[in-house]
Amino acid sequence: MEVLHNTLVATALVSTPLLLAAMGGLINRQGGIVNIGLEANMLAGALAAVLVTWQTGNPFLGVLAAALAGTVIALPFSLVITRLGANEIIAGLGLNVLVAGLIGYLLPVALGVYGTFRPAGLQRLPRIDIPFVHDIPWIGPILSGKDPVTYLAWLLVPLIAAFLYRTTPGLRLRAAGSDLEAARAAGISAHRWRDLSTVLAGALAGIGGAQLSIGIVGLFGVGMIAGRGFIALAAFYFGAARPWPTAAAALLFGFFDAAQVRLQGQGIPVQLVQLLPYLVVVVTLTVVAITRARREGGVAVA
Amino acid sequence: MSVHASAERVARPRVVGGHLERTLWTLVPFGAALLAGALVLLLSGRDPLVTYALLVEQAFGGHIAIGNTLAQTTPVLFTGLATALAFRAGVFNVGVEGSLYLGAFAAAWVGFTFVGAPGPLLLLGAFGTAGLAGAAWSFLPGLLRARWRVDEVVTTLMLNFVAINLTSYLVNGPFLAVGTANSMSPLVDPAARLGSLIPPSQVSIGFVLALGMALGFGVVFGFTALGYELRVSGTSPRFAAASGISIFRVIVVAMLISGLIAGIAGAVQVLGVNGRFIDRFSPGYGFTGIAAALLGRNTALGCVLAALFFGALSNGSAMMQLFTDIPLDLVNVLSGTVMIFAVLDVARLRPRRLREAG
Amino acid sequence: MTADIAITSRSVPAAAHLRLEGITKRFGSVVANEGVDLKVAAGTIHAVVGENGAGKTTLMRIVYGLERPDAGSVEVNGARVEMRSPQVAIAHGIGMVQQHVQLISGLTALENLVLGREPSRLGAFNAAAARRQAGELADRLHTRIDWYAPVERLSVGHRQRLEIMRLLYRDAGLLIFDEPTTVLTPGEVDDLFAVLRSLAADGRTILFISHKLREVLAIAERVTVMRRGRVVATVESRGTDAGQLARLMIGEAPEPVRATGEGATVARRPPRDEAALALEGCAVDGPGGRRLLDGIDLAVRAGEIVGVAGIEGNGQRELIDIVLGMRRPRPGRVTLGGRDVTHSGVRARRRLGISYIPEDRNVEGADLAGSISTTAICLRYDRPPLSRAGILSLGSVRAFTRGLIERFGIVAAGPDAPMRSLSGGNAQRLVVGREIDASSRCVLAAHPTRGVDVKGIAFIHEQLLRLRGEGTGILLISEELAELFRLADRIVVLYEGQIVGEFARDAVDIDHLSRLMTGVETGGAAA
Repeated sequence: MEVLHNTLVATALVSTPLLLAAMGGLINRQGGIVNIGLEANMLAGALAAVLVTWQTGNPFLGVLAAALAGTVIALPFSLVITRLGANEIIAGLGLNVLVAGLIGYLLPVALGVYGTFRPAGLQRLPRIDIPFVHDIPWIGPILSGKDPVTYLAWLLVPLIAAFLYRTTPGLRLRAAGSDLEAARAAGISAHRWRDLSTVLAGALAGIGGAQLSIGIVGLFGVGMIAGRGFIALAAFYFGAARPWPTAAAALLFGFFDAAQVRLQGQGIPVQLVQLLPYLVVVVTLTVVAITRARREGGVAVA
Repeated sequence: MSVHASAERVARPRVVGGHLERTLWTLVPFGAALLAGALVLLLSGRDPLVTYALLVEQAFGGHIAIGNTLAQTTPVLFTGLATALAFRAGVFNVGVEGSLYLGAFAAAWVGFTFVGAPGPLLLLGAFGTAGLAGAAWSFLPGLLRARWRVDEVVTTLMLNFVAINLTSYLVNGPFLAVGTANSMSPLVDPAARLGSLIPPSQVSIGFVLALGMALGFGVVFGFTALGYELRVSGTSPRFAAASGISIFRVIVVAMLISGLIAGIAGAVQVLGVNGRFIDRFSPGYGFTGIAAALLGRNTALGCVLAALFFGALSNGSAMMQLFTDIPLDLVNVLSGTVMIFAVLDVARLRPRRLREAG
Repeated sequence: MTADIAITSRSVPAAAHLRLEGITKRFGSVVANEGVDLKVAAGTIHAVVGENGAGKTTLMRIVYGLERPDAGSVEVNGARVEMRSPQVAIAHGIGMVQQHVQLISGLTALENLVLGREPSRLGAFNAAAARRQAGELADRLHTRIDWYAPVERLSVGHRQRLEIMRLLYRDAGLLIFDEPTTVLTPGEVDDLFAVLRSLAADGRTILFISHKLREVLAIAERVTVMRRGRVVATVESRGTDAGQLARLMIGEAPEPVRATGEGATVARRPPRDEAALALEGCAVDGPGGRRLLDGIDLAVRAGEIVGVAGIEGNGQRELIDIVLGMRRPRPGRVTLGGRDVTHSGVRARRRLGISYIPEDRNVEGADLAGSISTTAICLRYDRPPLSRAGILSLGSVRAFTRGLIERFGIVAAGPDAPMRSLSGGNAQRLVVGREIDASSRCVLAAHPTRGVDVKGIAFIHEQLLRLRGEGTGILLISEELAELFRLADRIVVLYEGQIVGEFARDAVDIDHLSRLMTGVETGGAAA
């Protein structure tokens, strides 16, 4: 029970990078692009947040810088896909390698450190207690006492849902993502909406990286994203690119993440917990495809 | 889904212009990578030309340097071929990394379990099991794609991480070497080790195997009925189907062979380099393999040259890092750039005048 | 739906809403439109009819700004307009319901309706206002739609209705319908027509593209007939009948080849009694449960050419698929030389001697990315002499390809030259040569001479007749009546997935045939 409680307390915090990146990936997916490069956006965001917070002493400026860093990376990435016809999967994998390489190269050159950058006196994102909620026994610590970015991330879920389904830009973005040609025939600049969706994904993933670096661990490490971009990908695939199911998946995978740290030495292999998100996606996609094949009846003969 | 529409371009890069022009376009990703690297070097206050010259010297200066370069070339050549084979057949397999891990573990398991068995038998068993393990790992996404059209891009990508974590569990749990705190398996029987090709460098006779594999790749596509089926299904699936070629079979077979090659790559790393399975031993050989396949235009010779490029880069910068402060990560800048530029629709980069004429 | 609005009679032709002059459009060497003049009076329903490939769709795409003409002008309400894009067309009040639905899946019906011109307040989508306008439009069309359902869940008829409402929502005054009835059930067709009549009664102009003459006569006031890219005639529908239209559309009946002319070199022996190919009760269902092929009973005897007449899209593709083995009929039985092959795949059937001359050689007949050999060996690469134990003998491969090149007079640089380097006619010779070379028991030929020059056509016809003489059964699917008359011993007519008529070689009634092909007359007819 104690372990479970501790895990749940940590879950909201460690879910945040996943949640933000997954919501970004979801918007991008709705905008017609499968973003494999979330990992790169997160990494850049994590670094930008640490650098700006270190220089200004203000972690909120750090978060802003992270969003900007994600955007700066996402825009050319998007243009390469929408205007130059690059395959989004390979370009995404390439982006991850490129950005990791750039940061790994420039970190020692510019800051004289290898792998990890931990400036002295780095401000972290404050933890905020929610009045009343905080005092509820057992539940209180699970929901309260998190950083502002975490609260913001959860606030974003209904906002993104509203944006996508209740606003004109959201409608156009989905139209552009679903059918480029038909959207153009309806008089919409489809490519621009696709680019916008990638940029939003970059910004959100960047903020996710910031929460990880200045919200949770208080340093920057070149390997710190550790596949979270791919788990975010798993989350929005699992959630079929719909906001609430995707958020739920991010929370579940965050729970796995929180649990594995606490399960060390408890007899449950950490690695088997870590592979769950990926396995879940493969199983989900398979079940969906088989159901679809059953429904459509006659399977084409190959 | 949208991902798949572009898979075709990976199987069959867009053809533009005449022979010479086509050759030149093949070099675009290569040039872009060198340019990106040069920019980064300039940014950090270094002379790109001097650095590149140093890199070449470190990679090829002397037989030990060459040996080490070939050692770095070996895994990328295998994974490049594995990727290229799938791409040629029109299957978007980005799961070579996963098969590599499974193969590596299988080889290690045979090597440390059947200690004392006759050397040749042990080697054969280790390679056989590794190939089977790699093939089995890619069989599932292949079957799902062929039978139910489950997008293999996502499944193979995800299964990479499953494989990495699964093997990590195996060497941290049931197969952790006694007396080691680190996550690695016991050492394999010395009889199962691959000999060095150019002592004292790190290159093992695994490199010869990789070259053999490239040769085999070329032979399969150039001289066999199977290669014909894979090739035609990749470029003209409807023509293949109307001719009586089973696309189902092609997808499954391509995934199996691709996984098999990746599995063998894993075995070579274990038996030729590390001597045991080490948790997360691959720095992304499977992904560099994608870059090599794309840069090499999915051909055997292309893969050899591209793998050599990445091998030299990786060894050269590793050596350079030892006595300059130029970080190894320069390699990633170059290979990431290669990947992005290799999948651009080159037709859209051409000047309008050429585009309209061609 | 019960809109009982009669065609409003107009004694004086109203001003031209749309006027096309001298429209010419070429795609490479193919002329899609040549010097087309068309005048569409405001507030009328004007039909454009013609066979597939007559240039109707291209002409409409030009009007809607999806294609740009090589020559000619478009005038809307008396003013010349450069139709650079659909946006320009939309701005001039032109809307088009294309053959393939342009709705966006994943979006609801309501979202599709308003997309591009959404009612909104400060960026927030005003769903209430949209819903209100949608309701008004639906009322006007006497229809009900589940506005909040994703469009992919709507029936085909509803989807089409939604497209029409989209045009009305954008206040289009000229509505183009490209073959709108092909995807509809008869009941839905009646509903659509009621809608079209009410739109015309509203003062809107309708351009209706079709090849179904019965429908055209039921709905249009004026009919323009196109053939081979040109306008053949424009007639008042009251002053004509289906027979005359069919004749205009399909052209004069060519003289069937008797025992003279080209065919004479090969003796026309009577077909043997054994069936080379037989289909029994074959059906194929499409998405949404629509029957694409229904109750097909068809036998091709050895030494017989059976022609399948019909306008494309009436089940030809599905017929090819079940004969070749790409798809299984459900229900139905396919036999090849008396052997049941219903459950055999393509390869097994190919081995049993079925040859296939595809309608699009670049897609199904050849590998454009490979060499000439690659395309040449596709039926024999896996057997001696071309390969042994899975190893190709490149010498034999080249020799085999060279053999085809020489035997069929193909102009090529050699077996290793790229397939792309062959001209269209030579590529088709290679494909035909490869197919009929493979000891055929049965040949499935789909539009074998489409896009082939006169010399090529003669070559292909000669080969088919030679095979017939050697006892091969041939199923010839074609839109070219001249080709069918020249080659076929029997002609069956395929219309909406069913065989609606059969004619013996010497008893073809061209009027009757045209009426069956165009759906003026249906079913039960036999000569």
